[in-house]
Amino acid sequence: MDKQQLLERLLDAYDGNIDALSRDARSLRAGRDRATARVRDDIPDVSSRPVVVKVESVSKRYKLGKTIVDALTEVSLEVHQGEMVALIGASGSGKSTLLQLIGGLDSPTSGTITVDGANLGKMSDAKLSRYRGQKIGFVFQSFYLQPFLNVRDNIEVPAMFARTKRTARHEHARSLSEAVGLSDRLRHYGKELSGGQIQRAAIARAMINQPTLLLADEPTGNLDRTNAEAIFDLFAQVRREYGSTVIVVTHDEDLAARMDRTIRLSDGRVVL
Amino acid sequence: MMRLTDAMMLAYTKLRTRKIRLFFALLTASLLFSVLVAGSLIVSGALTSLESFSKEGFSNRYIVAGMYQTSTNNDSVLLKPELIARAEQLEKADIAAKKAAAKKLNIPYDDAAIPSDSRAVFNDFKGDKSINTASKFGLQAIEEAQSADPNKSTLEKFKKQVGAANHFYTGVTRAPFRIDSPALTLIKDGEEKRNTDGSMGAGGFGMGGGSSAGLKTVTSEWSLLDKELLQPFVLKGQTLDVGSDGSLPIVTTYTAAQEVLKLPKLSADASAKDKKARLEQVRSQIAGKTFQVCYRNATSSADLQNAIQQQDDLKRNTGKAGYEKPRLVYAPSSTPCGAPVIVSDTRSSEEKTYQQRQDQFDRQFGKVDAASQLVTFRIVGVTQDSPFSSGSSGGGMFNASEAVSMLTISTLGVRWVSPLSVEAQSVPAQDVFKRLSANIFGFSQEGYFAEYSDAPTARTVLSTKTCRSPYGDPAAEGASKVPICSANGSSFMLQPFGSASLAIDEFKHGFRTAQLWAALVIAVFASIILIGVIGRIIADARKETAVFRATGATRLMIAQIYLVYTLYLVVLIVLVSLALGFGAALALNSAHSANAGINMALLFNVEDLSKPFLFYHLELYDLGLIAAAVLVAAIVGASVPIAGNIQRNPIRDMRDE
Repeated sequence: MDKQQLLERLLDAYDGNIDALSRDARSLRAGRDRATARVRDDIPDVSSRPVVVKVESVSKRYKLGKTIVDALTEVSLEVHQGEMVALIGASGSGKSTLLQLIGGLDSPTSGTITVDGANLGKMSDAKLSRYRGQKIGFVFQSFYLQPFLNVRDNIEVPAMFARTKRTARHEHARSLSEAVGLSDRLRHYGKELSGGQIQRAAIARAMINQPTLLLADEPTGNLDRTNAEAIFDLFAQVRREYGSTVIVVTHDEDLAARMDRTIRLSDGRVVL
Repeated sequence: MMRLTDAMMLAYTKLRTRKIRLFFALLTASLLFSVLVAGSLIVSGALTSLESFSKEGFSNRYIVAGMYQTSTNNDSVLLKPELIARAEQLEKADIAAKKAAAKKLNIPYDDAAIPSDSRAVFNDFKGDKSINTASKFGLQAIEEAQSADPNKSTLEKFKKQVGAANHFYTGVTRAPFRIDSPALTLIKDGEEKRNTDGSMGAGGFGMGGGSSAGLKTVTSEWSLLDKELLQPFVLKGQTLDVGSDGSLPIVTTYTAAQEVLKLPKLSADASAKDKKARLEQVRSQIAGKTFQVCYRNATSSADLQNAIQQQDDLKRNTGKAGYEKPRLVYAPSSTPCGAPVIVSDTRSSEEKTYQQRQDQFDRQFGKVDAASQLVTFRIVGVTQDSPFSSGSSGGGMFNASEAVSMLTISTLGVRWVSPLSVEAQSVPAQDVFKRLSANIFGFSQEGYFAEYSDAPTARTVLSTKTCRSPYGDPAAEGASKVPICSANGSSFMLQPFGSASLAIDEFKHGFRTAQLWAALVIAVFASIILIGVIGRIIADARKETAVFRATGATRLMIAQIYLVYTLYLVVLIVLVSLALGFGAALALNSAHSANAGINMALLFNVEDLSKPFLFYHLELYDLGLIAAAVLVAAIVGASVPIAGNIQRNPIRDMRDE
């Protein structure tokens, strides 16, 4: 076999592998599409909806001891109403920082963040608190339920800060607990619940004030696969039932793939 | 701000964290405040009970006593050259007169024989001179100078100082010393018990006395008071008039009353029941009982002393070689209070004539004839021995009822008191209470009393018109609040008298000030403790706080939750403090209430011996003060960590996980 023949054989084999990989990729995409179809089937085209979150050239720099850390650099993005977006990236890529900036828990070093038409940089501390209470629902990786309050009271905590009347918030907590499958656990305390149940309670807590935007920071980080998928199903349900926009920080690309859109961050920058 | 009920719910969860640390912090703070609670309850209880008893004694009368004070240093009086010169002049004139009289009577007289301690003026080793207050002429020089004092102690001057009052009264105590002091001797078991404790009287009205309150103290502590001031202590069926048998009415001490009735002394640990029974017995039996003292004027006293001395010498020396028996020998009379009797007189007629001339000489120069007389006292009332006496109870380490008595200068302040009116009807009384013009060492025999219709007026007089004692207080005369002290230093020191009302009132004022300071000090300590525990609770809940902030809580809401938590602590501390404080007060009450009731019944001449004396009483002011102190301590204790907490960045606290 001369060199030319050998080269042609290698190229055929390569093409075959490429075809096989392409098939595999197609198959995976099809599988993913099947899995996420449940999420997206209600809102086929969110891009036509108004922009809820607009991040423009946002940078965040902070000191870590004597080191200056550029957590975010010139990040710009838009999220539409009702859209489900996953922020993915390696640890330290700036995804949690971006989520916290959108949630008004911190302020950018430069750039502007507009949520529902309001520029967060121009809000006072008290207004930011109100913004967080009324427009934002936070879900944390560590749940943070008050151990000495039962599920119902835990769900109602943000409503207490919003001065919602007791009867109204009881009713809302009850319907939310039904939605997250905890209606029979309202009198229970955190230590009597599983990790998945606690996170569902935390999601119900985040939704008690019917926020425009649900922000979740590694919400499945402490959960097993089954519970993690159930939580993502819950996000889809929330979007479907309440029309909320959902931004989830995760490092789980499979779960991220179930969202409408994935935004990848690397070294504080959005990468395509 | 969030709704209070919601803040309470969230704050309540904090009480369930760090339970052991919280328990000990609350216990420590509560113990601190319980001291304040117990103190307030006990003092308020004692004062309230005291007031209640007091109303039955002096009927809530507001009386101010005034004691004459000399602001002039006595040493400087005694060193005044003009007074020294006057004393020497008086003495010189006396010696000259005596020499002339002696020559005329043909008896010897040598002024060089006058003992140095009887001379009008002392000469020290440096040659400096000072007046001898034991000398007739030294005293006369001082009297002359002080009688010229426009501010000399008189009722008029007292009235001028204190202003208008409803009533004015007078009282007299015995003179501290005088050349011709009479002597009183207790007659006991038909014998004259010579009093060897001198003639110093009590310190003055309202000043209290020594610790002994027995019968023998009547000889040195007998005082006179206006009838109106004595009336509340008079027992049923008794009057303050001199009896048809010449007996003098007197209010006595409880201890002396028991002595008169020959009752055995109760043991120190006698039960309240026994004490009550004793008091009932004394009250029912003592009224109208009499006892006697022997009054001797200075001459009689000297004669008796001479007779006793002679008899002692005879006993010691009879039979001894070379002992020459006196030619005129006296012996004490076998009759109580009788004049010494001559047991042998071997003098010649010349000696008798010479003695007659000597007696004539002595009478010419002031010696009075010997006089002695039995004085019968009729007990018409009984009062507590003395607020400062420990003799009545046997003197334990702590006696609550005495402690309560000491809260105030109460009752009469003197222990043996007759109405002032007896002075005019009794020669011995006239002699015993003879006024000294010279005011030496700040002692004044006369005390004056002004009665007011209400406490505020009396208190104003007490606080604004008194002249503080200049001794040990150099600023007293210059202080702006002391307007009356006159330039030459004579004035009246004012103090509450008789009724405990004013003293209690004064004590209340002092107590309130002390209570405020105690509350402040305790609050400071408690706040330090609370800073620690609240700071720890807040530090533990940083992530929770961050989540609350993320879910819409403003900084104010976070502060509100911890302030409500602090209020929970306040309520707990107040409740525990009240429980502990009440416990302590009730324990004290249980141990001492019955005894105190009996003592107070005696102190204030209260008829109802079952009237309770309680060592606890809760006033709204006290409760408010304690709650406020706890609140201040807690707010201070909470504000520091809260202020730090609400400034924290929630992101940083969440990142710390």
